[in-house]
Amino acid sequence: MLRAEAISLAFAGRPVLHEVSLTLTPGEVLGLSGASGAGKSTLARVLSGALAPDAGRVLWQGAPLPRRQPGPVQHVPQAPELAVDPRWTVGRILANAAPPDPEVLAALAIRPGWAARHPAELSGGELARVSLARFFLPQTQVLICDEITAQLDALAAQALWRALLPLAQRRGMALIVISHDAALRRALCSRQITLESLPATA
Amino acid sequence: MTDASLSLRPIGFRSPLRRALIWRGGLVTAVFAAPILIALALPETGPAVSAATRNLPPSLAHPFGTDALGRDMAARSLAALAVSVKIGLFAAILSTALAVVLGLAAALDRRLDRIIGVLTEMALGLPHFVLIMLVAYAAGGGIWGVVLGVGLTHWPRLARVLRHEAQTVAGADFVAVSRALGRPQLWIARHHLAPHLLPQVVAGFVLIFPHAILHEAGLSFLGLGIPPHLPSIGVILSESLRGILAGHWWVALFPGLGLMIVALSFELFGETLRRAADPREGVA
Repeated sequence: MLRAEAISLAFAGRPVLHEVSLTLTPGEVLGLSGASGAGKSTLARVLSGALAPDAGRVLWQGAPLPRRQPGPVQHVPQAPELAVDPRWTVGRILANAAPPDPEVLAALAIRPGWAARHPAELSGGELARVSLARFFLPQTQVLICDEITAQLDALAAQALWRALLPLAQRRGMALIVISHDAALRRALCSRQITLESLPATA
Repeated sequence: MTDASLSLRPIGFRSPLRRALIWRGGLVTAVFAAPILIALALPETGPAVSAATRNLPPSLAHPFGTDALGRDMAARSLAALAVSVKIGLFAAILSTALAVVLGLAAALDRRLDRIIGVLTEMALGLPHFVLIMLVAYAAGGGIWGVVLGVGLTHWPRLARVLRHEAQTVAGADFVAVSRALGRPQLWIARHHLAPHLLPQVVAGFVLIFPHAILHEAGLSFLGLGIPPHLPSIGVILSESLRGILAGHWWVALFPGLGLMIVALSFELFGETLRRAADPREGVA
């Protein structure tokens, strides 16, 4: 349902992605790895429609990604503390696009008491779950999880994945898991791809 | 959902920062109100010239004493401080408006950024009192000369802060997220950008006051600011030089103290506001 065809992109003459193609089927969990700077997050931004590629195209069910946001593909950014406005309350962050789904809040163990708090008053694990929860919109079909547990300790990371996987499954969502952790990708993903770093020649 | 665009970052109810804000805000309010209230309570003949009351030391009738022309120094000082605060207000409005326009223009447009950057460097590179003197002189002196002189020279610091802050917010991950969640540009400007910039604008606005007040005194002392027939701390201090030599210490002490208290209270309040606006300051 999500297809990327020969995506190429360069930043200021430096090629980051070169003819990257991939296909994602509904409900699939795809692992994406690659060295730092190989373009994993850039690919995630292209796939979610936040960034237009220089060449190639991203197709959603055979048609170009809908121009209107929020689209079906959402990119959960790496650092939750940078991805939430420090001046907003948690309640406002969760309701950014639409009133939060109680099922999602319950599954991710987000307590109603946090609504009046500010991000600085939550722990790293709590904030990661809050940041994640707001991307569960009715139209979200693919969630790109960009190193979302890299900053958490093993137990908190495990708890998050244990909550996220069944939730995504129930909603028929596909996941792209970007991670440096090979064991994590093996445990979660049915299929894996690796992005090769491009030589730094213009 | 409450509108958070006017609120500072969360401050604990009993935090020292909140207490400092209340105290210093009260101090500034008092500094604004006191000259008006006291001037109302003083006898009407206070600032009038009178040969019978020349060079009197402080007493109950004349708490700040009288000057060489027999004028009540308390009434003169308070009237002068009221002029100072007024000048501070207009200069701060002018400076802040310039800083907001130039700071945002620099943040949003790369070509304007280069031009405004050069302008800012030039304004910061020159000793600014020289610039103020030139502008005040060119504008013909007087209250508006001082307002223009201070207003046209005090925008660069705030403009820089706003430019940086606006660029940081515009490039922030949380703005990208709001965009991906379908929020339009204007909504982002209102709900992400404005709440980050507004506290800086308010703090910058208050922090221009002490500069304006001190520069007014400096300009008037040199004879470039307020004309001698109007009440002004700078004029009073300049005249008091002769009085001090004759042992009339009160003609300089009380107006000088008044100037210091007014400038300091604005400085303290502005600094507290700036700290309250800075998310990097620890939540106490």
